[in-house]
Amino acid sequence: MILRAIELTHVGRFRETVRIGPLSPGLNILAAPNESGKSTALRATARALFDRHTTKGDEIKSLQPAGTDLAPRVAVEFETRTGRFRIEKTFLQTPTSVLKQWQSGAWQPLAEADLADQRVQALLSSSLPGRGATKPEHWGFLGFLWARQDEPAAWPGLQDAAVGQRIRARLARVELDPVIEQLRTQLAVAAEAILTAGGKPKVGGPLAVAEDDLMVIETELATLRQTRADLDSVHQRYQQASAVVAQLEKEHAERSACAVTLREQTLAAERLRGELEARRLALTTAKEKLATISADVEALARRRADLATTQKELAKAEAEALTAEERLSQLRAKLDAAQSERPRLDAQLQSLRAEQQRVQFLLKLRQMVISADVLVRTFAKAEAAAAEITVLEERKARLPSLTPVKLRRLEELGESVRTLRAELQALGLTVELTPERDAVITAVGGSELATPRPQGGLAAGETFRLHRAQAVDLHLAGWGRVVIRSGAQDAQTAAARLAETEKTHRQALLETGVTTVDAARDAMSVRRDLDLQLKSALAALGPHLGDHESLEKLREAVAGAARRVAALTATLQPTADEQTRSLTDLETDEARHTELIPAADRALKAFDRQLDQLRTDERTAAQAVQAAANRVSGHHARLRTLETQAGDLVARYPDGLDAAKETAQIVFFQAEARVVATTAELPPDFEKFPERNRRAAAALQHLANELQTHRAERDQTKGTLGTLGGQGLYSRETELEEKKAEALLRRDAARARGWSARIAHDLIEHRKQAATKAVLTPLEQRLTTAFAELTGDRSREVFLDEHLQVHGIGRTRDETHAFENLSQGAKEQLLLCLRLAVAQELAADEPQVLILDDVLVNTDSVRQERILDVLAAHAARLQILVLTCHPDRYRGLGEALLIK
Amino acid sequence: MALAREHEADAFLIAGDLFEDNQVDEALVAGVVDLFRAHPELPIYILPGNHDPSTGPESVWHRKAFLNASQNVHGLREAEVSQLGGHAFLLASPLHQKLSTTDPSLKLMELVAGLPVESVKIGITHGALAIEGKHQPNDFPIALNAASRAGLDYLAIGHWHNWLPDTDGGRIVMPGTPEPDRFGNDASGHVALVEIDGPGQAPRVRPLAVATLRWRSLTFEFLNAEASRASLRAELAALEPDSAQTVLRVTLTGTASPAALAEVRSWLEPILKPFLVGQLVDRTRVALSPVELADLQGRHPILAQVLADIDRLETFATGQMSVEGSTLANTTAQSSALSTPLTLAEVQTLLAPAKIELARLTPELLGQLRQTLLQTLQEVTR
Repeated sequence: MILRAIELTHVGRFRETVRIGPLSPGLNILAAPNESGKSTALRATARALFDRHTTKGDEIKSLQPAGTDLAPRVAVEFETRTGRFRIEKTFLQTPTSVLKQWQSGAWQPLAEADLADQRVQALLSSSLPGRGATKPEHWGFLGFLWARQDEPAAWPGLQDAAVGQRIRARLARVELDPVIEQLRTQLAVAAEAILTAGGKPKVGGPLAVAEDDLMVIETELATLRQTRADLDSVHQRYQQASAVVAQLEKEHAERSACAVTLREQTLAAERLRGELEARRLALTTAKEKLATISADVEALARRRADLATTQKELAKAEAEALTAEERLSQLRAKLDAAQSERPRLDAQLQSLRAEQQRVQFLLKLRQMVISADVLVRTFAKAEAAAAEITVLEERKARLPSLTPVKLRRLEELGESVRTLRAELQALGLTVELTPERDAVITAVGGSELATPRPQGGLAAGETFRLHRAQAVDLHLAGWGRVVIRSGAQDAQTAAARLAETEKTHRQALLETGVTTVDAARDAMSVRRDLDLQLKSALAALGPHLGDHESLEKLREAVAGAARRVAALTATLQPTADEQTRSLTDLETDEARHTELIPAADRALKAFDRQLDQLRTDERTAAQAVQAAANRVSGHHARLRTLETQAGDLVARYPDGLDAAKETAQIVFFQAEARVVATTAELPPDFEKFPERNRRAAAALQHLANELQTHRAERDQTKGTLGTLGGQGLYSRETELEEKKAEALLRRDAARARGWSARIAHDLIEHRKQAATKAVLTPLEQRLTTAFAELTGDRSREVFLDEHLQVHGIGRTRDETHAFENLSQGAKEQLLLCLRLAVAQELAADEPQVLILDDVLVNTDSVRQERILDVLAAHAARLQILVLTCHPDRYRGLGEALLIK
Repeated sequence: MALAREHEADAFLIAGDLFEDNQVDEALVAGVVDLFRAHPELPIYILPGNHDPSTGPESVWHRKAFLNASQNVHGLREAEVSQLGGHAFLLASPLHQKLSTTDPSLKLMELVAGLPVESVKIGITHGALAIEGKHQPNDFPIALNAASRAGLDYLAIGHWHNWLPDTDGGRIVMPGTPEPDRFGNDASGHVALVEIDGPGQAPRVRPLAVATLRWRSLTFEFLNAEASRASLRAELAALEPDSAQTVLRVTLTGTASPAALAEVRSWLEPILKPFLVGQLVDRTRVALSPVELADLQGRHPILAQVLADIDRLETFATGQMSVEGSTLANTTAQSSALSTPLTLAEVQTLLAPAKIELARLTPELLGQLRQTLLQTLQEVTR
């Protein structure tokens, strides 16, 4: 189909009717500025060609002029191989559609309304969506041949059965064998009825149904088999339980018989045992009675023997008591005598002690007086030494405060001054003055280095030497002033240093309190001498002070000693005679007492020991007397007890003890004989019978319980077996097995059918694609040539895949840039090549229009020229409509269209 | 049982496997017992076999139906001796499990002890006669002289389905099943009528045909189509009167064109309809004449390639070139000179989307593939 003309009314900015056309069969350029309505006009054209006139979607409403509700009217004149047509459509308000055909020089109505829409659809091989406005995929071939502004650079798929496949077929020049195609389709249908695209059974298909049936059957079978397995298991348990029950019943019968026998034996033994117990009891009683009587006989004999012994002991004890009393009396007399002697001895000792103490106090007083005298003399010496020290220290204090360090510093400063002077002497000015007449010369300023500063007059012929560092300033009386300056800088520096050093020197001397260094040395020497003397004086004072820290302490000690002497004298109040006694007499007296007192003390202690011994003996004798008395009374009591006991024993047996004993012996022997007889009747292990009987009963009960349990289990399993056995498992299983076999057959058959159809289909498809691929190369070459013409790059080729999609561009098929990775410009150009190829192919049947709506915006100017060359070349066979807002790029090319 | 009454039999013996399994449904058991109840004067002795052994409460012999059966019905659940009347005794050695290496007839030797010498002793047991190469060691092997060894006048044995006569001097007979149960069991469908005149006398055994159904298997061979048709026609005509009692299978073999196959099927299907079971088994292969094949391939070059591809598939799948395929491939070789053979990688790529494994492409399936292709092609071009 090609376009001839377009008329628009109430479309976009076109409120009045505008006409675009006539369009030439070749290249048409519609150049207008942006927003001038070019694309709108084409959009309106598409709506008129492809949409129902009754469509009311946004795509239609967007055609209305802004702010109005005017009904857009579009008329398109187009041409197909069947003729020339005009479709006029009004949208929205009172929609209409009229199709006309150019016949006999005029437009003849052909159809209206829906019929007109359908006729156009048939003419253009387009389609309609279910509802709403159409999209490019509905526009038939034009959908491929219309490159729209701002659409992504993408190639529409060629899989569409109607248009895409035809394009694909034409491009690849693959003849579609309708028979093979039909075969393939039928095989596809057959396969799809059974399998999905992924090879899985199709839901609801025979394979899926067979598999589902199989699954159900196998589930049921599994359940049945499980039930049979349960049945077998229950059967096994039944058999086991039956065997166990039989065994237990047999054991129960045996044990029951044994238990009965054992019980009878036990009862007999119990009866005998009771009888034995009774007889043993009687024996025990007889035995005890006999033993009692025998014991009594013995006891009576012992009592009587004890009586005789006790009487003898009583007599002896009485004699001993008497002796003890006599002794006690003697000891008490001795003790009294000794106690009266002791006080005398004690008084004697106390007198000696008092005398000794007096002598000791007198000695002490004498010693204190002597000590006090010594202290007084020592104090006098110390006082003299201290006075000497004081004098020395005063002398030292009057000396200048010099230290060796200070002295050294003074010496150094002095030396520095001398050195600097000498230096300055060497550097400075020396002026000799020898006046011819008496003169009065006065030196002004400056430091004197050589001679004293002259004052007053100088005799004629007397030479006066003056040295200065840098300048000599003299005033000659009657003449004037003479100033002599030296230009030597060193002298100036030396002079400054000298002045500074002298100043420092003088300062130091002042601080130390000396006038000269020599004086400082002398003072230092005197200080040293004084230090030595002080040291000697202090050394002499030390011994006098002794333990006293100072002279004052010594003075205090002297005073203290005097006080103590006075105090002791007042306390003792010695007599004249005592005061005249010599120290030797006192010491001799003290020594004598020292010997007498211990002797007297020893004598007193020996007397005390004798006294203690007497006391001890007295106590012992008293205890002995008491013990003897106790023994006597004890023997009396025992005698009385023995007599009482003997009497009681005799009284117990009226007939006499011997007779009672004889009777008891007879009873004992009889009881013993009865016990022996009964013991012989009992079974040897009769004592174990109760335990055995109990054990047998317990075993039997246990066995009965176990038997009951196993019987219950057996009966239960029997019931279960009966129930399970009656369920007809076999019949159900057989039926299911048959169904399974049938389902397996169905499944295998369906799978075989499905696979056969699918493989056959896929093989055909494979060969078709192989055939298609075989013709890809020429198509690729065609596209490569076209692309090379466009781009000027002949080193790259265009490669397609088997679906005729652009695989990429590159030097080889393996080294391509994929379509998606190309630049926008390259994509546009490549798509242009494809569209041109498609249009060329389709044009073999019918003229085709290729619409390029400002799609080469990313193409540079160099390629733009090439594109124009290509378009011009193709315009011979195609109608090409270019919409652009760059008219300059297309000058001289094709027909320029105006929107009139 | 009607025959037994007709012949005034003293006893009706069922030597095992009355039921296929101990777990058959109640209705079946009840139905069987009802059948017995219909002949109250006929003593019926039923021995448990290896399919329905007397195992315990779950076995069919403990179903209520059997426990409440009429007095003429005797279930021989344990090894026992039953008096048949007069001086005849029935010694029974039933089975209690499905498999065993023990000869069940040994029990009869124990049972026979203590019986009067002058009495007819009939044994009944179940198992496989220990015929060399014909029995399994764990299938209750019965000695070939079991009857004479136990001093029996006759030993009734059940197990195998076909009639097996004259063993142990005629004292052992296996009557087989009274009804055939599969194609090929032509010797089944009988009961044995046994007459014993006295103790130690050889029994007279006669087979009585009792089968109600007839099983037949016929073949139509396309290789000799005309002869096969004539032969089959005659056989079918002979079977037709009893078609309601006939289980029939007709197998089509050989190679045939679809048309020929369709024609034969259309001829046979109505004929088979009246039969109780009329089974038509198609084992034919579609065949095209070389001319037909060449014509198809000339008009549809892809077809030649596809057939060659199928051959390649078979080669890859089985490692061998199929005869049929090679024929087709050779015929099409010239016309498909430009097509490249299918490679293994292409085969795997081809089969992968449908998840078909190459190893599962059996020659049968590939044959069906060719058939499907050609049949569909024929349908499309019809």
